[in-house]
Amino acid sequence: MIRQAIIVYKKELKDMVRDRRMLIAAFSFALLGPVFMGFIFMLTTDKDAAEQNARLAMANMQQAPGLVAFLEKREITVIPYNGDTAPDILPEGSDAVLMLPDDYAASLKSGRVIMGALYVNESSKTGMEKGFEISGAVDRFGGYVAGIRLTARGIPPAIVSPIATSKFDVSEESFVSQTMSGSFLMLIIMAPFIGGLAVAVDTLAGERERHSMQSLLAQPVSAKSVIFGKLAMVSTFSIVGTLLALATFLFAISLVPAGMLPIALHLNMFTVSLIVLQLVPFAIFIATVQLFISIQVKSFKEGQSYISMFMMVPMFVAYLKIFGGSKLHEAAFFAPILSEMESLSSLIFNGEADFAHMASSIVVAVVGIIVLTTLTARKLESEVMLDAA
Amino acid sequence: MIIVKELAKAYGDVHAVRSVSFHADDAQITTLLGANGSGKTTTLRAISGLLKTDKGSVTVDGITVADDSESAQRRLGVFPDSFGLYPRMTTREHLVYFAELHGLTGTALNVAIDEVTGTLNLSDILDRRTEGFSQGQRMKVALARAILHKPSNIVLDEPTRGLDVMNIRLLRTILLNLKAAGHCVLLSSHVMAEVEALSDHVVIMADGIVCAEGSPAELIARTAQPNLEEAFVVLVEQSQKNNQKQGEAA
Repeated sequence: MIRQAIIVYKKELKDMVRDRRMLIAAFSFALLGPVFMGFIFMLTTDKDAAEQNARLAMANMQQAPGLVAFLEKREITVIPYNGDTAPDILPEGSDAVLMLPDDYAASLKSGRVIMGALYVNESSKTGMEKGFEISGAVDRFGGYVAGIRLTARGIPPAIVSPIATSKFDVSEESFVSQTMSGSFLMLIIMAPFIGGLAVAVDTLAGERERHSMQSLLAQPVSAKSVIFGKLAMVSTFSIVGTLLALATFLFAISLVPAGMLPIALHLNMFTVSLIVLQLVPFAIFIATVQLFISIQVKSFKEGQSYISMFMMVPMFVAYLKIFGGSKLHEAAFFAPILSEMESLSSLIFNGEADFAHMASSIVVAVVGIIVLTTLTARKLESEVMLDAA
Repeated sequence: MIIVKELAKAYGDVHAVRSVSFHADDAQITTLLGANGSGKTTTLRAISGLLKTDKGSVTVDGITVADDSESAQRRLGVFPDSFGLYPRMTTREHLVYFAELHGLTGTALNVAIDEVTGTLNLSDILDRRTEGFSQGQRMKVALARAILHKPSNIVLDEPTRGLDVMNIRLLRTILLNLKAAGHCVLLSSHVMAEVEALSDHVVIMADGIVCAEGSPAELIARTAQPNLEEAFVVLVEQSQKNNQKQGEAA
């Protein structure tokens, strides 16, 4: 049976590789998707800004020499803001704008509350971090002035600060990085769906439509051998497409300066090996599902319609994880695709193996491969396979 | 040698074959003759191991197809009702693929390809992809694929359909050569001239049953008609009347 499966595999592979449309359909996503994603990542980075001090544009700067000195001591560059009104966008080269009132100096002298306004842009990771840095420094200046005033009146400053706290961000990831990491996972998860799509349809529905199935089934070859051979061919496309997508993405990401990404990747030989170990059975499982769909239909066109609909599944699941992941019950993450994404997320972004989700995804894949291959082979033995569209 | 006994096959309420029995001997050309829908293709598919029958049995060289279809298929060369070629593969690649499925490898495989290339004069299309082949060229590839492994039994479902005169003559010569070499050749057709010219034994089918069988000369003599076409019409009409009577009696 294995010998015959190999004969079928070799023939199928040769047949499919000769079809340029099949190759384009299988590998265009794997090659272009990650490059596009890498480009998006580059757009979210700002190398120059990250390497420079935070720059604050300040209205009525001449009235606040103490504040300016305080900020510059903390490596924040202060420049004058020349606008008369609050900014709609930050001026070129500024990370924030501090609008001080015209009576800043008088109010500071008389101890009145100064109503200032700080304008920041948090649409990028760098902008968010620098806005946070400037805002903190301005607040600290306020505390510094208050401390001097209290000391001058003989009151220990600590009396108005019974609790001193430091702030630490313990959120797993910001929304930007959550979206980015989710998009990356979606891209990897979708690769086997796209890699095997066209060939899975052609190898069964297409063969049936071309009437070559009847000739094949009249040969002394078992249905299982035929299905194993065809599954091996579709899996080859799925696995190569997936690994190519992963490699292309890593190459694209290597072009982005280190430390400038909105997400951190923790990849080494160990994690990459585990990623491959997990993706291979997943790709074979998806190939099996596609073959199972393909054998139910009579024509290439019909098969293409159903398998294209099946492509929406990983997309929906990925968006569910990105936008609704925090609301899902823990058990939901052991479902197919979600467990895959959880495990890959842990490997890629934390550098740790999440063996529970990894085992879940591999077990589901192996069981799925066995069940669906058996059902597909049984269907191939059915005489309905002799009729084409 | 192919023996079919009381074969029956229904698709839901449609009885494609009700009761078909006949035998096709070695070194003879046996033809299933019948109108469209008479059950010829279903019978040939049952012989080829492509479908499971509801009743009856088929044996190929003594092997019961239902019990061991792969062994039976090793002794068969099947030329299906449609050529079913792979358009992106060359003629040689078709032959290699099907020969390997029959277990041929190495020198035996190359010798088999050389022989069939000579027999069917395939050299000019041997290394061309089959996409764009004419009907005649497609027929040659399909036939080469069927006889490559030198099966003792060759089954052809309406092999002359769509062929021009020259290709029909070529096919006829090849079938006669196979018969002369001792092969059992079983084909289906509804082209009277072809059946009369080729067949040693004719099995006339109508509505899923065998109406009559014998050599063309015997069938003509039995009905006292001038040719096989007229004999066919008489025998089918008689069968239908008998069926009607049996139905009314039941």
